[in-house]
Amino acid sequence: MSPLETEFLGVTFPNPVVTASGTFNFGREYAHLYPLNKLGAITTKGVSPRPIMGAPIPRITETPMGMLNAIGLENKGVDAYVADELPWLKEQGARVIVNVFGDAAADFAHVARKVSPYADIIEVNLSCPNVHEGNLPFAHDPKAGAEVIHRVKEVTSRPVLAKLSPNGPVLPVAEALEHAGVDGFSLINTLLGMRMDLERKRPVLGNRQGGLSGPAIRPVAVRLVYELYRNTDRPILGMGGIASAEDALEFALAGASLVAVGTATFSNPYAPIKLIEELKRYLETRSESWNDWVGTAHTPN
Amino acid sequence: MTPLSPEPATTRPGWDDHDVELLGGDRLGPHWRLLLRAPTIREPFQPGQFLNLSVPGHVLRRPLAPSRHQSSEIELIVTPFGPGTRQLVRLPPGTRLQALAPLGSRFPAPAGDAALVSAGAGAAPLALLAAELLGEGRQVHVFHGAPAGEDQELVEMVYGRLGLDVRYFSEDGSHGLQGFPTEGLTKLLAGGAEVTVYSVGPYSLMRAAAKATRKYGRTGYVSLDVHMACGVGACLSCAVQTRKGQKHACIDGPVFEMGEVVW
Repeated sequence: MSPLETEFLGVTFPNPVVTASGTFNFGREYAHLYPLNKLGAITTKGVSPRPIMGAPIPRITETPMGMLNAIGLENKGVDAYVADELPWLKEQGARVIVNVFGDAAADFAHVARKVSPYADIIEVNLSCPNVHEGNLPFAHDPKAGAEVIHRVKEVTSRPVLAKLSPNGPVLPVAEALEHAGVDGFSLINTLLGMRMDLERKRPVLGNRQGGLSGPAIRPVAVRLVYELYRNTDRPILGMGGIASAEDALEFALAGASLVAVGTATFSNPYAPIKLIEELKRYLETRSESWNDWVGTAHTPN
Repeated sequence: MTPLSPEPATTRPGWDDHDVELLGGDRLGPHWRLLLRAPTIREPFQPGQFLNLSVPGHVLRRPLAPSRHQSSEIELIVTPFGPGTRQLVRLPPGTRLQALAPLGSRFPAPAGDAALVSAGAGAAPLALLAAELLGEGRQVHVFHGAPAGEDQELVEMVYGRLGLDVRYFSEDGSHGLQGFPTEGLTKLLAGGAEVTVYSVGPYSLMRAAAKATRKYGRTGYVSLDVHMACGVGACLSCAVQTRKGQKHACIDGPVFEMGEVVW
């Protein structure tokens, strides 16, 4: 057995490396570089009930060891993806985590129901604003977040991951989602940030604020995975600035069963594949397995 | 049961990530000319296409459209602007970099002769186009603009070596003609020249070139420089509003027909 093979929510993964939502689209752009089924899984771009145009440009800007983005959740809407991208992705033999979102709990459920035939796991993006309840993101409101999970669980038999935001109260939200029946967690989503344009004397991004990702946020992410692991028995998909085997193993120690590569794919489109190879070498030289590392930082010395 | 895909098989994109070596750089006023050795990029860059170049210590790459691609050498024009481009022009010769290439669309061929309208590093992809057009025996008119005389060396390097006679416009009148390069274009079009127009530079310049081109009923193309991360259609950063809906500069462009862009 490969030292990287692992089981997560009843799905067997050949390795624990998945792509992060929004950084890999639906995989088609990278499919000529390497077979997509070599990845642990692909997490798709966020899918909403209807098409969304997204935010004004600039949508992206670099920051020290990171980047800010405000794409504005641009996507073609669930019907377009169910018609082409998702069936194509399944044909590639890839394991698929479909990221879903909406304006209201019923919207999340609508998308989750439609994508379920193509999804190994559903990831619920709770960082979007709850437009019917004061625009507070679902991930900042335990009650609203729980309602989303409850509605999604009603319509799908697939395991449901809740993607948590570091900008809200992580532990109280996670606890409420657990009561609502969530199967696992992914974290962290991006940290809100802003960068100013000194020429225009205005924020750089068209949306003014954006989400910070990349190596700059890694310690924040490791800490939150660690804290969440202490407070839940649900499995965790960890992410935030992961590029190297060492980065991924930090997350494993903190408690992540799977890890996602996001921004690193923009630096190098081979980043997820390189990470899988590096991890394999690292563990093989030590005659260890990935599972040996998961949560190990929490065991008594 | 997974339903069959209605999507036809897609053509395999030609880009890959290439190891390149920085051979050196020369200063051209406020710009830099960088030479890369790229033996694995075998297909010649088409005018308008770009590469996405890594910068050591930076998370994002920088999209740059070559001004020349001969044998395995690629010439880039870089204008240091932020920390990434400042770092790029300071790198010592011999530095190994990574380049995603070739990316994006090329300028369509003109119906007859061509008029090029550039500013700053926008001269780079237009110089690559000019070399191709001159090789086809077409006449190429060049209008280049800058605040003052700072782009003289750039213009001499990328256009002058092709034997092109460049009409240089400076806003302050200190070099060449006083005004904007679009004034030269307008005069040419008003005189009845049957040219296809190509413009690369700041948004305001391209918009003015598009306006003049439309006024005289000609066709023209621009190359839009929009902030991007992946360069290959995955991140959806580089949105462009067109009359055919929202597009993305990296894969639907960077070259767009002037009349297609919602200015």
